[in-house]
Amino acid sequence: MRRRKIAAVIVVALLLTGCPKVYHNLAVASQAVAHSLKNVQDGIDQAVADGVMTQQERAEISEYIVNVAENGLTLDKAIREASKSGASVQAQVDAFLSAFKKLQAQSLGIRDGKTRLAVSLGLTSAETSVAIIAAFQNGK
Amino acid sequence: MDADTLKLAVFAEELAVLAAKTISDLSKVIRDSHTKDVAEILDDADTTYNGIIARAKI
Repeated sequence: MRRRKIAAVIVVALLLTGCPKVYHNLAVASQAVAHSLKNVQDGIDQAVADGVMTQQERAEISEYIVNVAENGLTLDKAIREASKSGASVQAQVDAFLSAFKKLQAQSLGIRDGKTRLAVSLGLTSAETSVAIIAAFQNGK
Repeated sequence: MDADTLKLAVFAEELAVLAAKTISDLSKVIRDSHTKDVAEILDDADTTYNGIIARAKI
């Protein structure tokens, strides 16, 4: 009986300390994606300045980058609220992952090989963080 | 070196700088995360996302 009580106390303690950690990890993942996305944007602007990418191409890919950023803001808001109330962030995680996949698909259509490489590099670094967000989705 | 080769060389160098900056940024994010709470981390993420949206409209 005493062992059960001790086990229950340990489980509750783990749950209490584990939950905030989940939101902390999600927040760090979102922050890392934001910085990677900014570097992708830097690469695109540099490609336009160097004349290897047109303003039209920039406008096309920017639409998808903005979509990821807007979904990132929505996800951040949900994480902020969930870290206090424990509310679900599932819908926001789904929407964010969907926006990121669309950006990846769009980046494959970039005509200039060097720019495609630059964007791919940035998105690959963001993917590590996106994997953390996806793991949250799979774990729930 | 012709103009196209020079343009490619310049871009390759910029790509290398961008790669180094990306790795450096991510290292900093992870390193700083140990001393920051969720709200502080999300404030920085929001600022970065808003900056991206504002710049895309230029």
